[in-house]
Amino acid sequence: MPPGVLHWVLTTSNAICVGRHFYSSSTIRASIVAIVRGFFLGGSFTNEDHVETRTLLYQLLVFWSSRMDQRDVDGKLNYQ
Amino acid sequence: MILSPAFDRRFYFNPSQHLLDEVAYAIRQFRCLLHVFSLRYVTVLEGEAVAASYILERILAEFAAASVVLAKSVGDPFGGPDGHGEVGISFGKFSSKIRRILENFCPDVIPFFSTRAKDGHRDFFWTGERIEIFPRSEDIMAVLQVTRAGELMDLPKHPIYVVDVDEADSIPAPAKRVHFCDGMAGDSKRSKR
Repeated sequence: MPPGVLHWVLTTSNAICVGRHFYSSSTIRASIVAIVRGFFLGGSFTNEDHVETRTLLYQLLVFWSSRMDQRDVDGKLNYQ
Repeated sequence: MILSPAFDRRFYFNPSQHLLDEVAYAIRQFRCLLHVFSLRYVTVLEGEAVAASYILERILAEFAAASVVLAKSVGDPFGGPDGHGEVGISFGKFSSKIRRILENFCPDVIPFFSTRAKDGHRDFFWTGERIEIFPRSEDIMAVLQVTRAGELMDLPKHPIYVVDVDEADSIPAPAKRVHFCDGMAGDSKRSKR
């Protein structure tokens, strides 16, 4: 399910649900827009804002920065 | 990235030093990424070569303006109390934080941001013309040196700075450019090209 897709979990009986979330580079814009909307709408928008995962976004950026710095325009490593 | 503290309630209620250091480091990396980008690529907008800083600061100001416009339409306080008993965040606090972030990062775009917010700008994504990106090759640089304007700091058809940062008599400098990681680049007075 892409970021920002409205959904709810419905079960036919009491259940314990286990799931995973992840950030994807290809949908990072949608993630950011969902974060912005979630900030304003708060509890009416989501049951959990996962604010501690912002660290992952910061780390993603650091990764992109170091990767771009290591490679030239054609994507080849600047050093071997 | 730059505006992220405004959308994170942890930054409104005594943020930890670890958190502040984390975002500061990420922003430094972002600046370095832009520095590398500006060294390697030329950005062209509406047929004019423009500095990457123009595109960045324009989208930053417009994103901030759209946030303020959205915030105004939502009843505050935002979010309501959290699990630690903290209260929601008022519109005043939020807009102040946005403005402080812009003042720290690029105060030159404050007037543009204010105008967009007043006009009710709602788009979080880029709304300008298609951005063309070319590798900074010898051919491209030769063409830029021929043109009198060189790489523009501000787009004449859609200016974002109040001060004319591209004086008519400036000579395009083929070598020296404003670098995002350069300490001088943090100065609000921009170097002329």
